[in-house]
Amino acid sequence: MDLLLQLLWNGIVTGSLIALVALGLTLIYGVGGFLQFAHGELVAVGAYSFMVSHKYWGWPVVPALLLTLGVTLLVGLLIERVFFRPLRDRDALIPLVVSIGLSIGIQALILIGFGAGILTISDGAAPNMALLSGHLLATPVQIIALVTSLLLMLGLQSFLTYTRPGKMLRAVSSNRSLASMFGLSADSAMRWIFGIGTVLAAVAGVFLGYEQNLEPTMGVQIGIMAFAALILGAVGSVPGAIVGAYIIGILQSLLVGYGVIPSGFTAAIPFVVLILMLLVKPAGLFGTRFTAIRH
Amino acid sequence: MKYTAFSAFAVLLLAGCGSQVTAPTGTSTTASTTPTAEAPAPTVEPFVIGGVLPLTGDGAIYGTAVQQAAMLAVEDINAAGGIHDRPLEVRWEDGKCNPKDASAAAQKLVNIDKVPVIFGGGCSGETLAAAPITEKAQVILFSPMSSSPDVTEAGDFVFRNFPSDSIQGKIMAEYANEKGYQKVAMLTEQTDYAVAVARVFQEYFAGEVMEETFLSTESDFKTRITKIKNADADALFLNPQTPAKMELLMKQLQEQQVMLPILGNEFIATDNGKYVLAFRDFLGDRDVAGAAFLGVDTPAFQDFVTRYEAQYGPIEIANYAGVAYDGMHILGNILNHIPNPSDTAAIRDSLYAMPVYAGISGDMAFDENGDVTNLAHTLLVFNGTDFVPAE
Repeated sequence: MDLLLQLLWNGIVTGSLIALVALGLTLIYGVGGFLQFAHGELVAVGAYSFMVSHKYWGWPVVPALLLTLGVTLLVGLLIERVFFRPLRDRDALIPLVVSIGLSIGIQALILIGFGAGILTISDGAAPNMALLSGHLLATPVQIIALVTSLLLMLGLQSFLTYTRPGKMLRAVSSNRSLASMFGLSADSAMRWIFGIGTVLAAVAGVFLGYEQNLEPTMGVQIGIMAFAALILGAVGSVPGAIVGAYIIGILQSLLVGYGVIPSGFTAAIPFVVLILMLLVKPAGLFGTRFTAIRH
Repeated sequence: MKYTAFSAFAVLLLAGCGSQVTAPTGTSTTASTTPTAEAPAPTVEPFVIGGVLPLTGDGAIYGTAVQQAAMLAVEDINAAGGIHDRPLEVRWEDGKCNPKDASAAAQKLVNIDKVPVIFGGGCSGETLAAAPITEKAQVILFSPMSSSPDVTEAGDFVFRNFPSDSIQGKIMAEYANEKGYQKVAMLTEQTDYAVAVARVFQEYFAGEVMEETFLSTESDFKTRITKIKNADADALFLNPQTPAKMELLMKQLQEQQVMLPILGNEFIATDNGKYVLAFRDFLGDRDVAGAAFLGVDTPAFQDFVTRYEAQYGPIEIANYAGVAYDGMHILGNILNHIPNPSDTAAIRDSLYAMPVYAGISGDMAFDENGDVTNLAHTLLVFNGTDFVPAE
């Protein structure tokens, strides 16, 4: 029982971080109509910004976090403005290819700036807490990560459902030309989407940096899991991305934890899910086809 | 690994984007190299050998130390007249601690630079990947730090002056047997070095081994640790490729409060447990042991450390650096000893026949497989504050 609890917890923590990244991807797909391959790199940008401000400069967590969100947001918006806006009405393949290039470019810049080695935000282990009368071990970072992720997901869902900009985004995603007739600009929609996605990715980056460590390719690893979550849930669907992310996280944890597959194949699980879904149900669990943002 | 290549490609792309700035620099570098060769001033051409070490990435922590130590030896050799009155020059290539980059580096050194000797590789994966290339071209591959047992069989022209892990794995297995452990859970990184340590350990360990593996690209071990914690193992064996991964494993073990006895490969014990320093309280008074190559604490070694630190700053992994310094000196001696330093068969034969060399890290000679004799790992046990040699 303890094993199951701990494995579920591990999976849920990982799933929450995957979800934060997958949400950005799904929003960008919903509004922009393309897969943003460099989205995982924004996780790395967030993690490195936080490490620099918090660890190197010694800033307290809150200002460091604010700076991290600011820097990452700037990078995200810049990417949108410089690379994706000019390509907006082009075939979806073109921004996809550009984003692959961007992913490589951002990794290379991190590599130049910080080297290829593993870096950490906190030296030593986080203090751990025994929950459920000792049946489960969790670290405060994990708990904060889980709670924050859940709040952000709820916030996003309410934003899309109840606020004017949220409704606007959904309008644009379901019919871009019709929306523009009502004065909803696709430009500002894309800015919103990139902004939201980037902030979520930056938060994931900070938690990932605490939970594991920092390396230039960290965005690729989480990015792949987020892609798998997206395909699993349904590309463009908000609940789909969240459910997909938790399934990937928990599946990985249970399959390896119970020895169903050898641990050396852990990293292959998202790929297997991705391939299986594309073969069996390409539209995803929540989808009928690749389509607009559903909330 | 794919992404390292991608990154390199991206650097090229970026360099290409800034072509107005980059192109002239690139050209001028090439231009300045060519005149040096043609310039009338140097009367003797340098004697060039190759070098392959992990100069970037996680493995760079050794690669850099080993390279700098080797360059100190090159200074000595050149101060004493070089190789047959020609200055010794090393053309360094980055093997990045992986087989792909190391084989590309070896191909370049063998086929383009046509060197008779390569000093390297560093990580075992580098040496094992370079060996088929150097062996075919009958080029000497002299590794100052690869410890995989597979290097023993890598070829007739392959030598190393670092002790094989067959010793390390065996010491740890015998220790586990002595402690009466029946079941050991093992966390092994999937690299040539770590897999070989695991293999030798399993060969000599009398009990059952539960082996969990991970890729170098992974950094989330929570689930594997949970699994091990629930597996009724008597002890845990940590077997990563780099100190960085050892720290990460320790961190996640502490977060899940794994209180088993911990055995480790050299990264747990080397330099008095430097890489697990932050976890001393967590380790506490449980049984913790690892086998590391200690080197020797002679005045000559201390002089070397002083000289190294004066030139490069604080020394990392001093035991590796010392062996590399000795390795380069051995090569210098052999190249000067034979009439034609480019005759690789003669270098090989002289290395096999070499009398004991009294290095700063100990007395060294080579056995029939090109493995160093006399040097060995030592079993180190944690006493609550320090890692001390077991009696």
